[in-house]
Amino acid sequence: MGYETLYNEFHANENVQAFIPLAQQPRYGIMATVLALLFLFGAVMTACSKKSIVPKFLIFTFLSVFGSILFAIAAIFVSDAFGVYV
Amino acid sequence: MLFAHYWFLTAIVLLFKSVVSEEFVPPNSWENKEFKKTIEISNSFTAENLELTIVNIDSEPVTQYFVPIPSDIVPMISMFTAAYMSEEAFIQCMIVPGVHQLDDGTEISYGVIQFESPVAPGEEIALLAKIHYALNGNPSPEEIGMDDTQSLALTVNRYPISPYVSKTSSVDISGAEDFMELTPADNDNEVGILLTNQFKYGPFHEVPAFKSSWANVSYPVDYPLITVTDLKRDIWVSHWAHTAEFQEYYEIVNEGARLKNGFNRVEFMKRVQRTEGKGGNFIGVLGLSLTENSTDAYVTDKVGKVSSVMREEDKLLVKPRFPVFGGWAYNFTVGWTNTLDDFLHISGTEQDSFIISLPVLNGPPDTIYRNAEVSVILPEGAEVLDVGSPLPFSNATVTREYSYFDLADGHAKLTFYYSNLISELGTGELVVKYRFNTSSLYQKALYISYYVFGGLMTFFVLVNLNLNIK
Repeated sequence: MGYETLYNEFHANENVQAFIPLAQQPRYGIMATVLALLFLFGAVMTACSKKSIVPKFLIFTFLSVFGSILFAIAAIFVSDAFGVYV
Repeated sequence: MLFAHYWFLTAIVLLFKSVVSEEFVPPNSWENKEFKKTIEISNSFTAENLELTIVNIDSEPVTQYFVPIPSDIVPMISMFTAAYMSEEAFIQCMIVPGVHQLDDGTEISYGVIQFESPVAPGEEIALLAKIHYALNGNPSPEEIGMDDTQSLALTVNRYPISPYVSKTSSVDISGAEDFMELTPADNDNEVGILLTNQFKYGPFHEVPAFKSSWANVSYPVDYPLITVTDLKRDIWVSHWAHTAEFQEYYEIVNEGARLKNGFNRVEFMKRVQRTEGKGGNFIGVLGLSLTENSTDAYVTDKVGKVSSVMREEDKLLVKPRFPVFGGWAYNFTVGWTNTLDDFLHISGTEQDSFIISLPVLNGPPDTIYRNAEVSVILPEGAEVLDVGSPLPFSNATVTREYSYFDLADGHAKLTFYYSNLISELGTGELVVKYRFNTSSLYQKALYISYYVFGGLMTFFVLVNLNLNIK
């Protein structure tokens, strides 16, 4: 595809909207961080509890999955909030 | 073994190639009814405007018109364009291999203006060609005092060299307040005439093909000759943050006249006070143009953050740590951020694809770039589909660049290598088309969560593993 074709295609189409506006990401980052810490703390407490292994593992896995996802989202949003754009 | 037996054939072939190149002379298909060449030297680069009225004197239709260019400055060409005078239509131009040696020993190569449709015998065309060179005159004298005005010397030909006969031709040099001819002319007809801000040779009549007479012309230039010897420009694209982050590293040199007696801070400060900071062949302040609506601009150098910076709308005024006199160099890094609203569009032809358009250069005006490396760094997981550059590049590569939270293949880095650019061409747009679907976007968060989850599982196993011997 030539330069002219690409150039015309660019100018013929609309611009892209932000997935999540940057100005709102610090707020979401803080919320995600708090929730992630709660889930991860709960997971750690579950792992250290004296319950039997199977229910303990199931509860731990549930808390870990959501805690990990929230941690990842928090990491991205907090990085963006500090000007380190990932 | 093959080369050992046939090396002489290789030598003959190479020799033959050289002979063919030197002997090339364009066919005598045109007559220049009028040939006016204007050399513009008001910038740090040199611009030639060729106003041509040409007639096909051949018996057959012709599609090519040859423009001679001295071989030693062909590598310095930043732009070679042509257009018809009567309509806004560009004509295809190119530089072709082929060398011809003039009677005075000068080697010339050729630029070719390729007409879209053949020009009939007897047909007359008016066109305007422009050639921009990433070079300027040489300081003459090479060393001056701090209070002296710098002069540059430019080697020009009194005749606009052409492989065709010119009925009327002239050469004008414009862009300086005063000119002095350093090389005496062979006859009175060839002496230059000083006009207001202009130096004129001609008009000459019935000029034969390849007529030449070289002259050195000196003119005052009271500003620095800013040359960027190396530019490394990175543009980081982030879909999560919806930003384009620009970062540029400059190595600049002032190619003006050097100081004769060395630098004296007291004398310099007196000079600045006397002239109110105006004029002088040193770089006191660099005006860097930023993209529109940019934020978070910063400047650093090898020492640290440069605080002598002032923002004026879309311009950043940077005062280097020291005035950069002729022959001195300075390096610094400048960065800023824009939202992707200004640059990123959806692709209309492919699903989950985007097109981004970014300026090739920002930076100071009136500048020559010897080597420029422009990189567009796409998000991790992006797949490059197509690229377009408005300027010819010497090389282009696609590599991987790792950054924060890159846990898979890293960012896709697309790099273009340019040489001998001028700042005027920097407004051209680099266009990159790439695929980046939603799963690629979420991939970063998923990879981070995998590692955290893996760590937690490991913790669970270690906490619940009982190695006691009972």
